[in-house]
Amino acid sequence: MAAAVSIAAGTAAAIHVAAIGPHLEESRLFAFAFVAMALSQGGWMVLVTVAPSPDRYTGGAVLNGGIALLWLLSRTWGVPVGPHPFAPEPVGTMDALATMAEVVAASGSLALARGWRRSGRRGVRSDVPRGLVELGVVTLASGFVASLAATTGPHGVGSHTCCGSGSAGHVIILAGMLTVLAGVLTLAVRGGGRPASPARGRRIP
Amino acid sequence: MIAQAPQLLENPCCDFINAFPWWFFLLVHVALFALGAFFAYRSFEADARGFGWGFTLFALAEVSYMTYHVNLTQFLFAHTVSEVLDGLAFVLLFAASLGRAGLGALDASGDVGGAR
Repeated sequence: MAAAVSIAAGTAAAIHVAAIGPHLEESRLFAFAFVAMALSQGGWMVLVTVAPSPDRYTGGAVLNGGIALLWLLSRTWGVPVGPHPFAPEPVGTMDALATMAEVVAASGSLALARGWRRSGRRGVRSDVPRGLVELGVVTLASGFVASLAATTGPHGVGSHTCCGSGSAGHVIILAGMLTVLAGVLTLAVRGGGRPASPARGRRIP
Repeated sequence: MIAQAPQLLENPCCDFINAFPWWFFLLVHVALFALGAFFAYRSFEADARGFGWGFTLFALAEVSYMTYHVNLTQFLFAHTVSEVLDGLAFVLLFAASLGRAGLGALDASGDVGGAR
């Protein structure tokens, strides 16, 4: 459940990253809003993956739920600012997917916060290598989902001609891979601390 | 430079690969990366550093492949770097395996240098 919530928030953040460029042509204010949404959702994903707590899950429910409500407002009455105030925008595949991810993140966060409080547990901080690996996996999965969502239609031959706005998701995949490697290398430098079994690897006399 | 080499044929074989969707290639590299990173992590956890570095290089090779697929690097550059990293990874893994089998100068943890 925690991983699904993180991946959902990461997916929404990745889609918002992909949407910055197209919105910059329309309005700087909208582009700034997408930067803010991507940073806040991505930052929250990092926070709850590395150091989850019930308060942070509650905050994530408010954040993701709020952004989903803002989307609903923009598709029904329209937002009061920007080049076309109070003009509803059409529903697109990308923004609908981002909103679905936000609903999953918000409802999952609420469930996690409630379950955590019921169990009486306090926030925990995972160790750095494992936290980095988990964060990287979540980032990678989010980027993959965002790439798939962003690339509807033909993209030429093979993989090398892909992908327009989907390339933001691709870069996020790469960032996820590098974060996983950072976790592995942190463990390599720090040392595992779990000695290999003496029975294994014994030399043949 | 490679394009300037004598071209006897016009690559008639195996055009079917171009019919694969782009995400298939990403998925293959991500899956291989995940395997490499997982085994590297478990190896370092067990202080088997030879295996750990071997699998880390393998995972890094997959990252290099991915730089092409996310349109950062040229095909030939990314694949050359990846193949060098894969080669080094296999040498390390073979050496660590030999050490485990007691046939090389590696100690029980797979480290070069042997148990003193």
